[in-house]
Amino acid sequence: MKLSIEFLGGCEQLFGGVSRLLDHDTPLEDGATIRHLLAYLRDHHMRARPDLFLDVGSAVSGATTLPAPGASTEDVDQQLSVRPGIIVLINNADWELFGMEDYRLQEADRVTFISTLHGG
Amino acid sequence: MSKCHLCHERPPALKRPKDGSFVCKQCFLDIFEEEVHQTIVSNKLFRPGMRVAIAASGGKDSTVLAHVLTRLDARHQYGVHFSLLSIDEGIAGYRDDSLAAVRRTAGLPPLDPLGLPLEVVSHAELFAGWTMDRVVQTIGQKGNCTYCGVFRRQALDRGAARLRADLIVTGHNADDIAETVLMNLLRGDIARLTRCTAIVTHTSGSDGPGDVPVVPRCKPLKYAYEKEIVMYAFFRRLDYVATDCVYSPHAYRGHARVFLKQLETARPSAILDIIHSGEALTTARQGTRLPTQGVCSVCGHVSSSRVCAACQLVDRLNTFEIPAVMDDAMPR
Repeated sequence: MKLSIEFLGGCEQLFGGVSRLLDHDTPLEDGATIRHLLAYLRDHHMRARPDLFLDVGSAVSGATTLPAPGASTEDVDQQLSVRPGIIVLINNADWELFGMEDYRLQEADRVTFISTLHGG
Repeated sequence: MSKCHLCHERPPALKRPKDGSFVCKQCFLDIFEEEVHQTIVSNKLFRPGMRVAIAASGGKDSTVLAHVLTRLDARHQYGVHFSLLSIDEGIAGYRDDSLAAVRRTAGLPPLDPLGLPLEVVSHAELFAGWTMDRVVQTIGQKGNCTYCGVFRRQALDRGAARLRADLIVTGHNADDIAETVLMNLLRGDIARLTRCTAIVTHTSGSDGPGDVPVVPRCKPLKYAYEKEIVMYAFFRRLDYVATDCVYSPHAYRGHARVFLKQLETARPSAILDIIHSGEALTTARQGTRLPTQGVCSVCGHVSSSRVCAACQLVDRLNTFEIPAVMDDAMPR
């Protein structure tokens, strides 16, 4: 699936200074959600500590719980989200309108990550 | 998909954290600006003829503030004179980039210039050459934020005086204020806890013995969520920098910040709720007196002690340097 991915507001610092991946070929397939994209970004593009970008655990409880010992990678990835304070836009609109991590990506979607945690 | 809750026509682009409503881009930009206008009007922040200095760091908050105020002034004719005021703390690799962003906001092409006059005041010129780079070289990184905070506070006052400003507006947003409420609560700093939610702050009590006018400061974005400020900047394609200061780990504030963001995820109204709690405490404790103000016997700036905090720090820095200088002069 081809996606355009943007890192703004300081997020780019976690991705080696890259702020745009335009029409970027990803190995994600039909049915992939934002969670799959986050796992892909973590494994292939992050250049800094993943905990500055990702949150493992229930976003609703707000807990940054660590995965249980022995949890498989898939179990952990099913709880992946971004850290609170990072805004996610899907095609220039708030991901909270589209089910957040569970949004099903579509060909040519634009996903924007903007940090509110830097500067100011 | 559902429609914007305001215009009932366009698709929504944002879920508002304060009330959970869905709004489209155009309605969001309008309502965000109008809410800042309501804050200005209901608190009587501006009077016609006022000279208002916008404290501009080049970051998201002050950049959004400058743009919103310029637009609101065109729409509502406040009759005030705006200018931008920036402080150069002397931090290479941080402040130089952000000052360049302020210059672009002020009026250099190509990006939607506001055409506002800009005054830059540097720590170096005010405090005997003590840039923050030099402070850190001398005392190390630990405790350097104290120097920066005290110096920047006074630099803002002096810059405002140069601009003959009647008011300084700063970009502090709802998240910043909620964070400060939490920190003061956690530290048990009751005096600051009851003061930190005030929308306008005066350093000087006008009825004190040393009746020295200090430019009041106010926070027009006090009720604006950080998320909405960032979305506003994104939708208007504003030019701001998001670099962190190279010297500031902000350890304690950082923890308060992470905690607050987690609270917000679970319950978005938490940020405004915390501000309201702080405001309620202020009402409950009215009648507490603040220290009276005099002037510094060294530099003449407003101060509640005989020598102002900045002069005390400069003095301390100068003594710090003596051993280094003597060391060089000593025969080996």
